[in-house]
Amino acid sequence: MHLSWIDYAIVFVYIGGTIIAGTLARGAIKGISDFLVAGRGLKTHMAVATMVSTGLGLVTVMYMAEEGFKYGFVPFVFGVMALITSLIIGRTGFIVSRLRHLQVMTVPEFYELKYTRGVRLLGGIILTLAGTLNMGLFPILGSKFVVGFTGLDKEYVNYVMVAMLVIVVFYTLMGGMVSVVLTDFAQFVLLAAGFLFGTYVILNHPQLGWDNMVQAVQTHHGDLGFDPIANPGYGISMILFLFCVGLVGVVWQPEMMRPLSAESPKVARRVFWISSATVMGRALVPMFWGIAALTYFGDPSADPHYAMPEMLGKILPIGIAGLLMAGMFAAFMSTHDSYLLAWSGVIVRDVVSPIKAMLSKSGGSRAEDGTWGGLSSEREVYWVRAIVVILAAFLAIFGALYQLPETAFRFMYVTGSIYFSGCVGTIALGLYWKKANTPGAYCALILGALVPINFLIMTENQELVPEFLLPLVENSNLVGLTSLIVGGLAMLIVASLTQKSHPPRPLDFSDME
Amino acid sequence: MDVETWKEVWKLVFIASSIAFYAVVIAVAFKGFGDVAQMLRNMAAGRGASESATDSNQP
Repeated sequence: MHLSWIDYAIVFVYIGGTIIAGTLARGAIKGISDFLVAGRGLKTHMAVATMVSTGLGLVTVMYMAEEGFKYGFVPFVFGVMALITSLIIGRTGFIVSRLRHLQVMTVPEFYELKYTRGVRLLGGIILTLAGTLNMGLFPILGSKFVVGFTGLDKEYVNYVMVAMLVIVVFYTLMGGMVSVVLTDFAQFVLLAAGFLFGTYVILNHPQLGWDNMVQAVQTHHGDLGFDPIANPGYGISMILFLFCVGLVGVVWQPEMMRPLSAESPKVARRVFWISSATVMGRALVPMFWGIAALTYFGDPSADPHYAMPEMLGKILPIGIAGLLMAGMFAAFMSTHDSYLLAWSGVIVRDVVSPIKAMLSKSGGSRAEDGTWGGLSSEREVYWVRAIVVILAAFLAIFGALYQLPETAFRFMYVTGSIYFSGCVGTIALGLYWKKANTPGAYCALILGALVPINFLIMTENQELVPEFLLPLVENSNLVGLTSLIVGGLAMLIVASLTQKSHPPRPLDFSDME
Repeated sequence: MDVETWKEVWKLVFIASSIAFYAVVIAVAFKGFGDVAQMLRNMAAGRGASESATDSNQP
């Protein structure tokens, strides 16, 4: 074991505080709007804190570190692209302001406003599939960090995963988004402290430090560890994909829940503007830790999921190790709570509730409490809580059994593309192109999702893939980029051809802040 | 760009991103603390999140 009782005490005090906050928040839940979007009352700085916490999960730390370990300094380009796209969104309010203005709680809810209930149902199913697959590796990667950091035997990795999930599920069930926001704020501060101390120790460690790390990357990766254009794992296709997905990635439900919870479209835009200053740091610090692990162990064939936490566990002094552990535990919880809530909200509001509304033939308009004629507000809260538990159980099983293709980073991006690809056509064009209509939306969702799903199937069955298609299996960057283009083109072509038979539904943004 | 230039670029990018990150964290933590305290007071008073939001949005 690498840690002392003082370190464990810090972690347990933090966990205890989180559980108390979650329990307190139960009193603030009176309906589905309180549970999913905290009554749309988030002010700028709270919204920024909670958005940064969600974007900086333990899984993010793990897969960013893995990229640094495997590719050296090249993945830093990811942080640069994230900064550029965040600045664009923060300045223009691209997608964010308009969706907040429409007062939707989930992204597929927009589909019913702009298109039809059927599109919402399909979008909800695709988002659920993409979201749960994407989240599938979160718990196991988080658990690997804890096991590596504490020096526990690796056979305990699944038990640690289940224990961490139980804590998250408990406080998310209690207070929904209110719990998430409160705990995210504490997590935000702890995470930053963990980042600061971890990086300081690495920079001042005799074996590490900037110059030693640069030398280690040069030794193990050569010039390809620094040049993102020349590196075959990155290159122009990856950089372009990162830019495009950075722009449309804002529609990712856990990310979008913050702007949708903001008190106005103006605040929603400002949240992105302020948090844009953090996106590079969120990516680069864990990547830097990954490079430090490569330098410390000097073995590029080591498992990066264990190397980075093991290194931190060994080099950090007592007290700082506990603080970092609490910070990383916070990172685990801040992502899991938001994701569990987001996907459960989508399953209930955009799949279960529309099916019930269709069966009961109720009208397609939104009521005062934010429901659409399917389940009542109270029943939606009940079902969201039930689905949170079911999803957590699914994640535990998936994490224990699934084997990664390529790297965790690529897995996240390909599964994310299943949804993002349809979003270019349905949401970006739906909000900004007056001709976007229902047939175009169906085609954008289906065709966009087919490319990355096909990639996942082909990756699992490479022996059956024809030789001319192998480059697509071996290069996930191409898959992501292709799916975004296909989704956008599908809407443009099909909507243009069906304007007379399916006239588009207009949206009014004239009084938007 | 040659590899030595890339090394310098990444060093600058890392320093700039770290400064920006911690500056925002300090500013947001300081300014957001009041909002969190208000949220906790509302919860202690048994008010729903929507009710609290409506009150705070009134002029």
